[in-house]
Amino acid sequence: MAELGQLLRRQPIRIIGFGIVAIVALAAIAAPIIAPFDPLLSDANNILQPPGGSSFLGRDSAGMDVLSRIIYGGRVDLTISLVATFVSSAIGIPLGVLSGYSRRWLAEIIGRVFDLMQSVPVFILAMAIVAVRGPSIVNVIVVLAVLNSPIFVRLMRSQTYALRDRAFIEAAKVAGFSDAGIILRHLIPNAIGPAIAQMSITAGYGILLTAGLSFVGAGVRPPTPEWGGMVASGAGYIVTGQWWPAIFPSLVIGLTVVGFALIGETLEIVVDPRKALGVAAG
Amino acid sequence: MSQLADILVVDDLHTHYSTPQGTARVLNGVSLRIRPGEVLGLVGESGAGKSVLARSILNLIDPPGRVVKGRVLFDGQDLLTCREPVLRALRGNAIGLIVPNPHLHLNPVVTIGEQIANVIRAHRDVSRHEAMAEAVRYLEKVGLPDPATQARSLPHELSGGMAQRVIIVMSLVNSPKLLLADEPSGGLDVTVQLQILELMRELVTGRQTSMLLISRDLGIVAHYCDRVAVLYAGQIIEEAPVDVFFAEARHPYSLELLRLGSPKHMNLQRLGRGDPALNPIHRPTGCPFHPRCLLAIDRCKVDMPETDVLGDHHSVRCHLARRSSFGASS
Amino acid sequence: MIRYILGRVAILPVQVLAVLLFTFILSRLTKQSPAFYMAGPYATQETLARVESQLGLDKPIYVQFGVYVANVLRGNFGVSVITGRSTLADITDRLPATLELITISLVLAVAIGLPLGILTAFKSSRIAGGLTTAYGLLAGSFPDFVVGILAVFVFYTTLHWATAPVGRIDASVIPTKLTGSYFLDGILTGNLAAVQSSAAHLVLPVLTMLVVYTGGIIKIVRTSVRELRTSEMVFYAKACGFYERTRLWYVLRNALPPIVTITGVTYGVLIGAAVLVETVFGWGGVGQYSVQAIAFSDFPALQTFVIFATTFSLVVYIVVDILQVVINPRLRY
Repeated sequence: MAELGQLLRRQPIRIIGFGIVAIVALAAIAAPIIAPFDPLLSDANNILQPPGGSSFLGRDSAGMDVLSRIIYGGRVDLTISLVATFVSSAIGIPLGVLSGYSRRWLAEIIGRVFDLMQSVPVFILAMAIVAVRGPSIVNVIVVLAVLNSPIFVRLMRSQTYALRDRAFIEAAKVAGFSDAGIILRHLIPNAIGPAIAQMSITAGYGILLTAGLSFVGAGVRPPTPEWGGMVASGAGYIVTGQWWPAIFPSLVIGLTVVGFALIGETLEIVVDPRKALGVAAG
Repeated sequence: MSQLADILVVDDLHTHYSTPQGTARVLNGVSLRIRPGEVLGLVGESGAGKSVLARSILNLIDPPGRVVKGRVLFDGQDLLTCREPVLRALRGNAIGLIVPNPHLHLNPVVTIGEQIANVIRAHRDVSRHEAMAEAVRYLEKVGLPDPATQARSLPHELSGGMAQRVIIVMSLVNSPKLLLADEPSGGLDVTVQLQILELMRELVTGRQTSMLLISRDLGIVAHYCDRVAVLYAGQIIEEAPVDVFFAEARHPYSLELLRLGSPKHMNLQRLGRGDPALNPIHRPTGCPFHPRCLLAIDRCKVDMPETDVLGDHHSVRCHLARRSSFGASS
Repeated sequence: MIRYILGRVAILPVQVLAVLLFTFILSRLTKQSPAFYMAGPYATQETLARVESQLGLDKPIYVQFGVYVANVLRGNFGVSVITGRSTLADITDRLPATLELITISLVLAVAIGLPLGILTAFKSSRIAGGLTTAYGLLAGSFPDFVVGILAVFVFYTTLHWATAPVGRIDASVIPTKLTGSYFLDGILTGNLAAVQSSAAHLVLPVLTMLVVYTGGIIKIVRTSVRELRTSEMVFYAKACGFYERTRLWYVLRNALPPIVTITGVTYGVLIGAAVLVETVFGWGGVGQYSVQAIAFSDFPALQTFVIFATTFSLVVYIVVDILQVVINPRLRY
């Protein structure tokens, strides 16, 4: 944590990532207060109203206010993504550590299974599962949580693998600590760094997946406000010139993911200062 | 006072590295000379700046490092001001470099025969066929079994000792006038170490090849060198012919080394750990050894000792060098 | 090495079996009975009953799986609820379109990304580095369908440069059919109208893919080349007096493995991206087909798509693994 503060002081531009995510999150939390309209309220007289006037970002094809839907949509996207990431890491980190630490065949199997999971297109699997189970927020969270766990498994596995033969682990063993004790008190604190950085990146990726799933109809169903779904219903109107229902949510998606990516990169450098050379040296 | 000109003159060399914590003054005024055909041993602890010295001589210090001051005269030419094409022609040719950790320095996807051939062809206009043949001959000379087949192997198929011999071949194949041997036996088994060193001795005697033999091991230096120089905290604190050094070393640090036998041993002791002088960013004022020195007087904390020539090619940097009542331990 | 290759290839059936297990489980989670989907929307009660017994729906689950696998091996992937045809036929009809799109995109992504990555690894100017980092950050953060939509908005709606984002070729042009790629076939058979028209339709979808996925390639190339340039290996090459050309060759040759990997990974990812991009541009490939399948709850079609897309990805990874062993001799032991 201290290193994070130092890094931020040296390169203050990094605060942008945190800022973006903070703004989006706060807006989502404060939605009922700051959203100008009810996101589900459709004004039939003002379908596809251009931005301006009472409707700051315009209205979509159902007459609903784009800005309000974006703000409320943040609740859906952020919730799904953050919860899924949290569950993902809760599954993946322990399994990864176990798989890297244990020398028994079980470890190999775990590793292999998750490797297989990583060689198939995540989006397609997610799409199929949600389509079959029915589009809902919970289903999306579950699917994302499961499909994003291999990366944590892989990460923790290689970290643990690298550390388990190190001297301080040997010393702990000799001193009589049990395996479980060693894992909890010595291994995890030292190995967890990259996983924390990865969590931010996975959160951003989660938003991309959620938006994509909703776009193809395998995610959150309208009229629940969700950024990807908004882009889907607004997409057809771009060719006729009514760009705002699709473009604004698109930009918000991109911006939020950028925020998470920046945070993730900053955390990566805190964890492994050598990576800083790649950025600063340009 | 030899008739022949020195093949290498390093004059007041300062090499600095920029780090987030400050400027590391790794080399802090290093001067030495090597005569043609002479073997100069350079000893120092890890972190004293030995490899940096070898790289500075070749003008191969990359950012964040920089040679900020000094001259490196090879055959009269200052390598620090030469243009790149001139340097390129000298490296691997008139000046050879041996490095420790051979596997780190070899190309993992190219056969060793081809890598040796590449060194040959970088400096001589010979066909690939001829170069490979010469590579095989050298591999045989260094004792690799079945050299023709080995020439087609990849570095990871070789043991540490074998790979080190490949490096040695690469450094010698163009008959250099000066060989910079940076811990040529570092990281190897003791028995293999001896083999390597004997091999090197064989290869350079009779060729008038000068050598700078960098090592952490005083024993090796004693055995294979004509003169010894001791590097501490980025400076040469004592320099003498081998027998003079072992009989009459003056600098308190040299005496510690002689007592313990090897700088390697010093690393394990508390003395070595956290030694303030070995932090290149924050060097102590005055003589760099004074925090560790049992004989330090007030002056040592303030004034940096100058090089004091004690005669017979023996020089020391210590305020107490000319003390009469202090002899070397026998 | 041959042994390794054979070993890797032999794993494939096992992996495909795992995929089939996955789709089998999915098929049993649907709301209607699987027989409904197998028999098709026009089946009568008798046909339905017959199919039910065929599928062994009354038998234990592992027998059902066996029947399922046997059907797949026979080429029976079920009937599409929308088209009424065998899903296998549907997929094979549309596969060339998708392959055309993603292969052209991949080739261009490498053709652009590789030189750019190498260049930016050398020019250590802060501007180049900053721009590349910024591009990588932005490009990877906007979903492909968003980029596609933005592309349509900018180049079609606003600038009127691009053709209408519908389909692969103008309706008035008749493409020749050899490989299934209108563009390639046009070139091969000298059908210039087809080449022109299909190229015009390819521009925006391919551009979308490129914008999103070239960044990853550039980043890996740049990182690998940079690391190698400052490696001890290159240091020693310099110390031996190698010319710059030789050193560059040493660097590139050693940078090859990660580049091969990222290319393969990108190809595997593109089939997923195709789902979104094809939908935006009405491309008519298997991606769009799968989205239609979702919209109409056409589960056999969706399943078949999943099987094909996943197998594609697995095959790509096997090829990558084999290539790695070929170019990286250290892996052979």
